[in-house]
Amino acid sequence: MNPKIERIEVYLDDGQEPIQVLTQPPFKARLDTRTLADGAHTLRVVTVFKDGSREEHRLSFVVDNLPDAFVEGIDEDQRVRGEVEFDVTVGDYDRPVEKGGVSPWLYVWGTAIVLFVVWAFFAFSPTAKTMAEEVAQKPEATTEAPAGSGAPVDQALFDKGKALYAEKCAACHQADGKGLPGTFPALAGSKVVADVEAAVKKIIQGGGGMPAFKDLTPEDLAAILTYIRNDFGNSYGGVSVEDVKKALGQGGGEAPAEEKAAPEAPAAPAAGAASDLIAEGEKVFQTNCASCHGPGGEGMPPMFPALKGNDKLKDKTLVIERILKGKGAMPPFSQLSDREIAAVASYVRAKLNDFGPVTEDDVKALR
Amino acid sequence: MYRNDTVIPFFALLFAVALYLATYLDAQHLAALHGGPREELSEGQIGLLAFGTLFLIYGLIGYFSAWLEGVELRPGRHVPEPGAAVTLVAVLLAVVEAGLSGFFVRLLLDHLSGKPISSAAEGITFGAMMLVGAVLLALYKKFYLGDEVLIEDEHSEVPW
Repeated sequence: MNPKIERIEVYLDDGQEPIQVLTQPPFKARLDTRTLADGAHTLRVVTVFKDGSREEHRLSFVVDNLPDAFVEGIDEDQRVRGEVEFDVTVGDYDRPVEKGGVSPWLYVWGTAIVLFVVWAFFAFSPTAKTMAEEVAQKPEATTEAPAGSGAPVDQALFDKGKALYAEKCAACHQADGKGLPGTFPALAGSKVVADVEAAVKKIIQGGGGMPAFKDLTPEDLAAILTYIRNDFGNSYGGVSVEDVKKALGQGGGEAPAEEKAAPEAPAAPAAGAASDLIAEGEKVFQTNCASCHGPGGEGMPPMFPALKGNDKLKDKTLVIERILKGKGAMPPFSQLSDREIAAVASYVRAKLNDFGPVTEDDVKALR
Repeated sequence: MYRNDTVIPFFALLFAVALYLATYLDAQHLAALHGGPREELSEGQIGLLAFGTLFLIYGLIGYFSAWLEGVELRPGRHVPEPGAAVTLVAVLLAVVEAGLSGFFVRLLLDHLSGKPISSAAEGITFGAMMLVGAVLLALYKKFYLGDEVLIEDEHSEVPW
């Protein structure tokens, strides 16, 4: 209670004597309206403070204990003839309130029944069963396998592919096909391997750090694909030479020989400064070499030798031949133009080491 | 800044979007390095997603709280004012909730009987059930539940 309050007096209408004086909380006043006449009244609540000051709050209210009679049987302005009978209802506050309308329990049960019917329909009806089959089936059950899946595996192709894989692919993708996580993607369970067309395109065109193996014939490709699609836990089925040729036709990665010839043309501006050549070589390096030799040429010894600070690169001929013909795990990059090979050789010799650049003529002489 | 101000939630959502974007760009970068989309998430992506989700949930809670209780809490009793439209939405959502739970039971029964039911479909159905349930609770709190805000000293130690 506010310590400044002494008491609260409640007056009715213009009465001089309070009908109630409240001194302690809770300040609850009680008024029996049945002792009052129906109509407008005023309630005055006067708060008397300890310092003698007063504050008055007026509140108007209407007592309506005896409402008007309600007539049922004759409407307002209705024309009537002869004898008329009608009901008169008068409000009575003593009469118990009649329970009319709809029981709350009916609402509860009605709601529960409707919801249960909806629930049961979706749980047990044949429509729901069909819906579940159409909407929620496992993808494996509906879209079975990519192209070539289930095709018989040619054992000769498989064996040839195994040998080719060991020679050209295992250095990066590992003998078990699991790759090196974060560096070389796994072939086991690979989506690219499952798709013949995508896999052919990937091998022929390379990309993303993988060199392009344009020298492989369709038979080589069919062999490698047959092997990698049916080993390492994969079972995507065999791939025929015809499948590969079809993929080459569709994939646009066809005719390595043509592409090999094409880049020769822009080799003309050899007059560019050595620095331009080295800058160009850095791009070629990052595209074709960095995945194994590292973006800064640091390599991953002992599998992939470092090129930075490597005295062997002093020998210009060795560098060009290694790029052109490959060795061990390193594939040949003969598909690169003379200009590109000169550029990348210049980059690894002059930028990563302190040796001189290489010219296109040097490459041409060794090709 | 008052209790239900939306400034911090806004920046939390902004950070969440930035982190999700960073995750996407990271995936693009890794895909470019590896020559194709990777099936597994990298550790960096998991970390970015985790913090992005943290900010997302924080931001959503902030906005949700502001919507339910108002940006400024005015002392006094607040009487609920459910309208016909809200009631209609609530009824429809209740029916949807019943349908979803029935369908979830259907999926479980099919799964147990050995049919090839996708776990993703079960998860999505259950997630939808939870989402509709959450919306129903929010509607109840917002439009059907009376509330009382007590006077609180502006310089009190709450919230911390």
